[in-house]
Amino acid sequence: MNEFSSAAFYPVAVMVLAAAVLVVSFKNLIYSALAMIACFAGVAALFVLLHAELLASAQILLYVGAISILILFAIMLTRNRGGEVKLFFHQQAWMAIPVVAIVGLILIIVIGSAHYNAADTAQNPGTKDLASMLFNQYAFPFELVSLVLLVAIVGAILLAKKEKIK
Amino acid sequence: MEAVLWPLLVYFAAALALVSAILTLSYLLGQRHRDAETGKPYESGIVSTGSARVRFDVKFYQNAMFFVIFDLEAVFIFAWALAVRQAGWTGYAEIVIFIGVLGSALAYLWRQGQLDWGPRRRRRLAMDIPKENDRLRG
Repeated sequence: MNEFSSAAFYPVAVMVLAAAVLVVSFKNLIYSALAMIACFAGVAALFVLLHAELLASAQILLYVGAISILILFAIMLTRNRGGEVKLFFHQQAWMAIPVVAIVGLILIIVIGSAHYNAADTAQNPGTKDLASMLFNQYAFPFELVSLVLLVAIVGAILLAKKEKIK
Repeated sequence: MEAVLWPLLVYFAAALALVSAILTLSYLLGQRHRDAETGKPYESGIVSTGSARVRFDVKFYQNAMFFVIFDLEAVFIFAWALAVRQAGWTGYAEIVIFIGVLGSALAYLWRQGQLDWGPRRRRRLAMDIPKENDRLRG
């Protein structure tokens, strides 16, 4: 990471964390969803800072664009008539503290004990290299993806189909 | 590497400046009303009836799911477009198969009638509206 990236990392990281905290602290589900979109966008910015542009564009297209719409639609479709929607984890703050502490501890131990080669981000494969790798080395998994997507479409159709009354 | 990232920063700054300019200008120059009609939802001149809390068709969600799937496809095509020279003809064949499979998926859901929000259905719903309104008025 060069100077610019490391300088830009902190404001973006703060934004991601702040958005993530807002997701769980808003009382209104719609606000939570919007905060989550901000969180997704921040993660995309982090990918850009790591020079993972392909990942960043996928993050924007899929998470900021598609997943957030899916979540907003889910909220729209499941809202009960009137009345406040209360998030279930608002009552579980006392439980969250030990869980977060344990997960944080595990993460610190794992990250602290891992040996990273001091790889510079400049050595990371660029977007073009990554893409050409996808089409040469990983051609078969790539084609499998299309089948997985086909299965997903069939599943989506089947799920929403009305069950036939026999 | 700064050379690569600074246009993005400029773009961000421009977007931020544009949005804040629009919001500030409309805040400063806009009119403020507090009439009976102000808070009502805008329905292009039609008086709104009933509640907005109606049950939406599950098709909305289904369409969102299809959107996610085809969006994912777009990401892969985007990756191919970036490496079109390196991938060569084999890459071309791969992307043709890829798009072919997803094209057949599209054909499948088209044939299954998942893309039509049929006129028959719409007419029925339109017919239901007065009945629904009567029910809501009690």
